[in-house]
Parts: sequence; structure tokens; C-alpha cells
Amino acid sequence: MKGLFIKDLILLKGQAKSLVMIAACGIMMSFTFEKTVAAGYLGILGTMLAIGTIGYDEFDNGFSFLFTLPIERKTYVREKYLFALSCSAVSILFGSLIALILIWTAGGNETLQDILLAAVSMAAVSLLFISVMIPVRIKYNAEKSRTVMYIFYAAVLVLAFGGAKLIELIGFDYKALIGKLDSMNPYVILSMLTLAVIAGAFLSERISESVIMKKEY
Amino acid sequence: MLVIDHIQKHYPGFDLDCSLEVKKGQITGLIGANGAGKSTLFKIILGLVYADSGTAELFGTDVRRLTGQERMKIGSVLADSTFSGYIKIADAEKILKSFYPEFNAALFEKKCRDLGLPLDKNIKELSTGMKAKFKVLCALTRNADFLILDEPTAGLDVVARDEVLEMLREYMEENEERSILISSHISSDLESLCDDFYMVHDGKIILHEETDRLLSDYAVIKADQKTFDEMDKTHILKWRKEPYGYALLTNQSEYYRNLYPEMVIEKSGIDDLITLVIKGETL
Repeated sequence: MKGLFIKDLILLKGQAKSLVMIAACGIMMSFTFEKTVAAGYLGILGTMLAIGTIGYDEFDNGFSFLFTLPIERKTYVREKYLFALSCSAVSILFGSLIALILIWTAGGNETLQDILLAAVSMAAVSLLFISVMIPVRIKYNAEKSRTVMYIFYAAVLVLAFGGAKLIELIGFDYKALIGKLDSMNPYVILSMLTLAVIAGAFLSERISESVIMKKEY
Repeated sequence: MLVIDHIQKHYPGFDLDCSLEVKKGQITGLIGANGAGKSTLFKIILGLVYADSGTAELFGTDVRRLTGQERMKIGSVLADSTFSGYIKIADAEKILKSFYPEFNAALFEKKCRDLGLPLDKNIKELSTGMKAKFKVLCALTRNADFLILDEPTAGLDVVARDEVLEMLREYMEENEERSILISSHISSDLESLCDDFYMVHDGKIILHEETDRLLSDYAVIKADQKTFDEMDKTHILKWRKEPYGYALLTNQSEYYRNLYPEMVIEKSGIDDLITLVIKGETL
């Protein structure tokens, strides 16, 4: 797995210029908007970059070569999840650090609690992103993956609006439920959501393993 | 070293069914036309494609159950893939070092200098020839016991091809226990390098012969209509109508030289063999 990490870090190093630009954008946005924006923005971009390394692995039939190396396909999958998680964690930490520095130096209404909440929320969103994107990228090539992701986003929208309509039709009192959630401790809600996302990530990893074991290169 | 027993793979319009053996200390060639099944067979051995039935054992272990340690003892070159084109040769060296404890970095760097491979260049920027040399170098510098090389000299000029073949000879001389399975379209490469070779056609092994025997006993007889009609055809394997008359492949050239001293009998190379075995007719 160490070799795969080194490979992915080298691939990221090749995008160093883009990384610096992205970090700079994150810092600029934190000046303009809320201080916690950097953590969110950088978190998502760090995750995207890490998942993007699958595209580099795939380039020019690269998977064929990769799987002649002394690694198991399952190890490749696990490394990709760990690498994406590590990149997300580093990006979110970096973003949170920027937010902290900005609050201490430039002042602001945000508290340490706000930054912590933003960081944990972003970690959950990044994990959700990883859980959806990695199995899709392993199953399909770059072009097909884009189409599948558009379909996925469309399906999420349809489900959301459809669900809302359905709730209205059956006369479910969703306002009461929202009120109940509002009264709950945000950390409890966040913990529940994070646990759900972690469970989803484990399921996603299993799906990715199953997909990669069946593929021929 | 490698024993393949009736490995089968079925695709729409193509069926592979091959058996072959690569012995310790030997270089075995795999020849055949494009689409004959060479790359599929190589990919099955490397675990990239799964066979429908049959067995393939490398180092005495089923290729699908090779351990990480055993896989470290394989050096491979695939015809159509290598490291991601977005990394530099120097980066590839770092990656190989992290995957293979026995990777010889000093040899890698020396050979890069000798072969004119710039360490700071992205792999996608290398010319076809440079990329071919780079791929072979990656396979040779990890102290592997078994090399599996699919078209390693494709795209190389005569000088570069000679350099690569010399590297393969040096690799074999370093350790007599090593073996190589190699495919190539360039028959002279195989004739000068291989101990034996298999010929694959339409997914089947149609010939297995030692190279020495091919070069000494196989020959192409050129005959006109009258000679063709009257000659003894006991040891004729294949024949083909040519513009001048007939080309006949035999594996008993001495027999015909003694029987017909005036007959035009030319040494058969792998190219003649491929043409006549695939396109020729059996008597």
C-alpha cells in the first residue's frame, strides 16, 4: 500500500500549481464570505483531487500495468479510500487552520465551535462524496462516470422533490419533525449523520472491491 | 517455472485454448499473427484476465493465488501499457523502489543514462522507442526470476532493439534459474534469443519447436509444377501455391537434400514458418 500512496502523492505533486491556486482561492473566499468557507471549499477540492488520481491510473490502459505490480486489487481499492480520506482530512484541517488564523488576526463573529461544526460537517460530506464517486469511477471510465454522476444527481433531486410532494400528499407533519430536530443538540444530529455516512462508506468500499474483482483489464 | 494446461477463454467470435510450458533457465518465444491470442494469454498469466477453465501455474502456484512475494519475482512488459504518462521516469524509479525491495536503483539509473532515457521527462512525452526501452528497463531492474514480455521490441530501431536484446541476454547470464516468456513480431529477435517457441493461431497452439531444430531441420522447398507432382511428400508439413510454383515446408531438410540434390531448399526462418503454417495447406 505504501507504494500506491507514493504513486498517488507523485500524481498530486504533478498538480502542485493547481493546488496552490485552489488554496489561494479558498483563502480569498474566507476573507470575502464566512471564515469557515475555507474548510468546506478546500475539503471538497482535496477530495476531488484525490479521486481524480483514478483517472491518471486509468490513462493509457494504466490499470493493466498497475495490476501487474505486487498488489492485490482489493489493496488498490482500500488505498484509494484511505488516500481520498487523508486528502480530505488534510484539506479540511488546513482550511480550519486558515479560518482560525483569520479569526484571531482579522476578527469575526465565528467561534471555535462554528469552525469545529463546519469541519465535521465537511468531513461527513467529503466521505459521502468519496463513497459515491469511487465505486462509480472504478466501474466506469471517466466519460461514462460523468454520465452516471449526472444521472445520480438528477435522481437525488427527483427523490428530494418527489419525497416532499409525497409527504404533502399523505399529510405527514414534517414541520413537527423539523421542529423536533431543531430542538436537538446539533452535535447529536451531526454524530448520527456522521455515523450513517461512515456506515455508507464501509458499504461503498465493499461494493468497490466486488466491482474491481470482477473486472478484466 | 510456468505450466499452462488447457487454459480456455471464450469471447464472442474468439476461443482461446492453450497449453505451454516455460522451463527454468529457458527463453520461450510466443509467435503468432495479430489477434491470435498472445496478449490474452499473457494477461491470463498476469491475472488481468480470468480464464474460463484450465490451469496456469507459475512458481508452482496457481496464477490467481500468487502471493505478493511471488508477484515480486515477476517482471512484465505489456504491449499497450505502463506507468501513468503523467509521471516522470525519476518518479517511476521511486515507485518501483517502494514496491520492490530488490529494485536495483543504481542499475536503473546507469541504464537510463546508457539508453538515453532522461529521468526528468514525463513518460507521455517519451518517443515510442524510448518508452519501449523504459518498459523493459522497469521489468529488468527488480531482480525478477521470471520475465513475461509482450512485444518488448515493438517500435524500436535496429540499434535500440539490439540494446534491449543484449539486456535480456545479460539478465539470463546473471542467473541460470531465470526464465523469459516473450512475444514479438520481429522473427530475427526470437531466432537469436529463444531456446524454443510456441506458435499460436486462432487461439490454439499449433506448433512447438526448439529454435535450434527450427533453424537446422526446417526448410522451405521451392518447386515447379512438375517437381511438386512427382516429389516424395512424406515429410512435407504444409504447402502453398506461389507465383513461381510451390513453397513447401518440411522439418526434414536433410532428407530432401539427399533425395533431390538439385532441388532449391532454403533455410526456414520464423517468418516463413508463420506464413506457411497459417496460410499453407496440409497434404
